Amino acid sequence: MADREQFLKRIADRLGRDRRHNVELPEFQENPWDEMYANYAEEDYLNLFIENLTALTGNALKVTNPTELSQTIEGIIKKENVKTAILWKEKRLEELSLQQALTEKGVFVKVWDSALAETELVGFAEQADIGFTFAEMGLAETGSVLLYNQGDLGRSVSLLPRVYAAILRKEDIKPRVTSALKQIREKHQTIGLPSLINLITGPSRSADIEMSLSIGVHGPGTVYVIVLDY
Amino acid sequence: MSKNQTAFQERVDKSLNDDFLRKALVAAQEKLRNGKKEQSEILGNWENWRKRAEQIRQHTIENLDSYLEQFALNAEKQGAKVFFATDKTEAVEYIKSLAIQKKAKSIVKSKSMVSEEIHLNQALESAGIEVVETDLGEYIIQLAKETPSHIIVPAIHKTKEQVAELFSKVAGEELPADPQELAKFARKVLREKFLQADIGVSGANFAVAESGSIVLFSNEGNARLTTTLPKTHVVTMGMERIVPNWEALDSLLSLLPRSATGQKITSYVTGVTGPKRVGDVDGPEEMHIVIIDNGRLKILGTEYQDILHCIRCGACLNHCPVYRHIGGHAYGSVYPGPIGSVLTPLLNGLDEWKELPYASSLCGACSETCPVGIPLDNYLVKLRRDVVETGRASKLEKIAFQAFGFATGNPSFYKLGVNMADSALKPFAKGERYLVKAPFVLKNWTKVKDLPMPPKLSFRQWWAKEGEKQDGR
Amino acid sequence: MKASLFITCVADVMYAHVGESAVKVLRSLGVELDFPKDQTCCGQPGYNSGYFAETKRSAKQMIKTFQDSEYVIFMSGSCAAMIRETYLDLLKDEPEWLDRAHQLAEKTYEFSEFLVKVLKKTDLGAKLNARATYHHSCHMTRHLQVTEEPISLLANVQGLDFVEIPYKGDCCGFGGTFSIKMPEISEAMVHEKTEHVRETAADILVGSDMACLMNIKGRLNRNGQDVRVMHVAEVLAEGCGLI
Repeated sequence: MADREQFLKRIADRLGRDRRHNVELPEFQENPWDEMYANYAEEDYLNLFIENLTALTGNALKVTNPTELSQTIEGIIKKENVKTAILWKEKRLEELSLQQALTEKGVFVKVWDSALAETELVGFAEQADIGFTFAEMGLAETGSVLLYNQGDLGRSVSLLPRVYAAILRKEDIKPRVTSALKQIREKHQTIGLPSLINLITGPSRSADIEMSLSIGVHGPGTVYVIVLDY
Repeated sequence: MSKNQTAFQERVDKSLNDDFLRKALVAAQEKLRNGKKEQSEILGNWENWRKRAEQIRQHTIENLDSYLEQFALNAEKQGAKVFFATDKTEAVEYIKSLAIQKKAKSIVKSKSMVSEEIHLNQALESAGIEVVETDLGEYIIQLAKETPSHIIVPAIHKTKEQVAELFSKVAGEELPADPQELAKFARKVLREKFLQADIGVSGANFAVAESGSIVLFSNEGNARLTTTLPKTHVVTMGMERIVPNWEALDSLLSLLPRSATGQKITSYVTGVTGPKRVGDVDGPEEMHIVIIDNGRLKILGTEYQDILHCIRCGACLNHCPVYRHIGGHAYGSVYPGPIGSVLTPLLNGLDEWKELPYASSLCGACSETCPVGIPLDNYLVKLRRDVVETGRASKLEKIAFQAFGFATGNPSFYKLGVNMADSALKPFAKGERYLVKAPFVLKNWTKVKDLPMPPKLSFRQWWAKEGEKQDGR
Repeated sequence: MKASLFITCVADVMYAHVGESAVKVLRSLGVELDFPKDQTCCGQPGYNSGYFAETKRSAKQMIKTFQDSEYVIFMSGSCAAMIRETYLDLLKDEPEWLDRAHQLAEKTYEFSEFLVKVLKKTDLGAKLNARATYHHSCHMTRHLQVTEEPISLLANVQGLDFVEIPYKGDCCGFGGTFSIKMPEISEAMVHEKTEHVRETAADILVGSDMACLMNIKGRLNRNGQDVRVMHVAEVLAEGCGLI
């Protein structure tokens, strides 16, 4: 600890003053983002979300009833040639009977049950064709989804498979990242943050070789966001 | 000429003669600066955003000790270990000892510029540990045994053929010079490395003080894999990378990707708060955060303090005409371009780096584009002042400018010089309106450009002769 | 309307014609112009090379010379920026000189800026048949922030086919001593600029900073590109038949 205090004291010395503790950022009266999307309706956020995710080669699909959801999932299974899937062990996914919907179509499903061993779950996720999670929030401006990863909501589910699918409620689509940061801050101030938070926007990408775009470099190369509009 | 100047000039010459590099740099800048322009127009009121970002960075740096303390305490509350390293030796020793203690055989890294500052890879490799860079561009230059030439696109100087050659050696078979195919290969190879690695080393784009969290921006997903699969996670972060709270991240999160590549946001923004918790399945069991000074401390309290606002977006590189022509390697330092030309001498001293502040025409494009308002071109001039006032300028130059100071302070001498210019240059003009071979220092000019022959009458001579009287008074 | 002319070191030595043009244009607009003979150089070369003490000598001479002027008209945007911006930083530890520097800064105007902002003139009735482009010099754009005035003056020159230069924000590579100290990089930059000039197919390259124009012209010549370089004042003087 002595080393740390010495380190910090040297900083205060260089700044020409005594040590400070518990400094907080002053409140700002106005913000650059205050007027953004002020007159938008929920429908507008959805449309913007779809537009922005699509522009990044992500797939944004709206479903208005359980049948459409089932058809959409079937469509994904066929298009992406899905044989195996890994799912979060999550109430809302269970309410949608997602596991059944997949199993019925011949997909071998594993659920990220935190009672199981890491090697088993990570190993499966690594080989799985698709990973499904629920998303806490969507961001219209960028086509992003917000995930809190902990316990049965494994990090690897949205990371290791070659396809990633998020399920998002239409009413959870907010204008922009301001909303996500506000929610994260509130979460920290109340129940605390999980060990990993993800803001995911479309597929993995890189332009490192001659500025030529490659999709799916390390993370999933195909992303679906299924928006529940019911 | 000092040894470094020759070395610098050599690197500049090499870059200027590299046709591929020059075309690649023009193309990269075109894409990246147009991207920024487009996004800044879409975002609207860019100046307000910039001002906010600058305010937050300024407040943070001014209260750095408090925020670092807060960050460390909160990170430790979440189970991370925090180590404050004064210099590269302390940082490297901590990480190396940890790796040895863990009996680590393989380490994966996601991009961390400060880790290059401290030469971490070499130290770990010398301890017999395999270190694999996983960012595609960094992986390429690691295989090529080179340093990055751009902050955001480190392998911009490499052709796809060169990359194919490098990857083919790894593959043990010939791979096509196709970027997408090569990226697929990298994914496969590096996925194995991620799964086997004992330690993951990442940087930190930002460290949130209020919750002790690290925030990582990535497009590829390697930062996520690095911080999820290996059992131990090590963070190397410059001590200035702090942000007070999550909401304060807004302007920085909104400006960095737009300034760097013209993206609204990177594919992944990842917030890591401590190692995995009880009940978590995947994630590292241990998290070690190494907070690094390495020369930043001595910049605090100086007129250069605002350089610590830098969020490493690379916009200054993307707008710099000098960088466009010489690329990153010519600078010879971890950080190239305008940021490098200021930061490197400040971190590492003027003895070795006094050429860098002169690698600029002071056009100001860097300062204009910096999303956190760093007066880079002003700092370049001030560093030149430092070179002069610490006796590092050449004697000849000193004499020349002493004469300049004298002449400009003494009109009669000044006039003499002005009025004599034409006679002085006449012998070299050979009767032409333009000189193609001027004497003394001016020969550097005429090597590549014509120099006009001064007219017989200087302006003030014309004024005295005609101009003054023209309106009949 | 009384005003003083600051000719700049480059124009004084190399481009007397620019000064002559400016004098004729300003007089035709009713300005009673004088040329304080004790003027020297604004000090930019010294400042940009880090010789602050020497530059202060230039600055003080400048302040003394123009003490009694009502307006000072600068034939270079970068020199005007030197006074309006840099002098105030350079002399911040000498309150008496800083005060006087502020006073000078308030009456400092770049040539086009003076015509448009003070004389409120954008159309002088000039006629010139040519295709022209304009070089936006860095200091005038980024430090002085004068960009529209020269363009509005050129827009009103009858017969002048104006075309904007591609990548207009890009530096010409002069940078004062930079062009001598780092000639290879400077060459790469000026060559690029001449390629952009070529793309406009302009007969004339107009500018407000003779150092930049001297730099670009030097390379245009070496490339064999037949493009005239002119200061805004020269375009107006010629266009109005004053010279």
